[in-house]
Amino acid sequence: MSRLGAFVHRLGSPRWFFDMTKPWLRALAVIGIALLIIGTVWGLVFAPEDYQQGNSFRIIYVHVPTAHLAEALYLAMGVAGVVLLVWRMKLADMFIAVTAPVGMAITGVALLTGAIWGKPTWGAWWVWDARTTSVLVLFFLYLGLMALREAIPGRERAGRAVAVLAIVGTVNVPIIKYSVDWWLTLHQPSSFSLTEQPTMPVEMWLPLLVNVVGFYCFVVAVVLAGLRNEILERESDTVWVRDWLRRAQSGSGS
Amino acid sequence: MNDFVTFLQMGGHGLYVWLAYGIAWAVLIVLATRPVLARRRFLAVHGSGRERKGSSE
Repeated sequence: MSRLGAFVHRLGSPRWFFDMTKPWLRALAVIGIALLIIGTVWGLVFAPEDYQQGNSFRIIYVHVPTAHLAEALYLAMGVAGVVLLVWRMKLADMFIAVTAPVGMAITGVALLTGAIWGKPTWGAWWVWDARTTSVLVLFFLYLGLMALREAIPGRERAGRAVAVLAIVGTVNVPIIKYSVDWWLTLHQPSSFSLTEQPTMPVEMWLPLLVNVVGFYCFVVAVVLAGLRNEILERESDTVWVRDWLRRAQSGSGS
Repeated sequence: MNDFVTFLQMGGHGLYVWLAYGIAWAVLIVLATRPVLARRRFLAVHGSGRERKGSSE
């Protein structure tokens, strides 16, 4: 237990986290909304149309960010699952509880925008190829996490079972990622890579980058806001929440 | 005005583009609204009921 251990311990304290994250939440929300507006207008109005796909390609600016987030949120829940099982950190359980419905909604957007993009591009709303199918599995994993929590009595037991499913489900994430390389899919390979030059011209991928960062900031803000509420709910009997309530009532609360 | 109509039509792909963006923005708005409503609900339940359940430490 070094300084890192002490930091992790403090981060795991719901009260400390609640106090700490108020300015983060505000900053992330403002930056996220600003970037989303810039990226969306840029992508819809100023980015050139694709020489093969025409304007339907503009769906990329909502499809790719949500598809990335769908995987990232699930991975984060898997990490939280490990933290919960190993260190019994309550905050990790709250994080999984709050993130599952958000991740499901985002995965739903990725699937729907993919289907809408598929119609003019592939000629079909849906194809059962490796990429689309593995993302559909991801959607049901999110749903499963929520259902499992409801189905098991006792918050602690339910939390542990959900954590196990969150960890096991992360196996699906590399399958999604490499599905376009491992199998012959209709879905195109990744638009972005850290190691290679983008295959799109800069005026196409720059708005995409803006929207990806915007979606991330926005969704992290949503999760933080949900997490802060979850902390209040679960700690509502503690002295510090009652103190906070008193201050909130007198108008200076967060 | 004509330019705007052309923009909305998206070269024949208007339905797909606007449907995709509509769904995405609708979901983002719902996601952002939920915690705000939850916070209000929490304050309504625990704010006024504080005196009644004040004895349970």
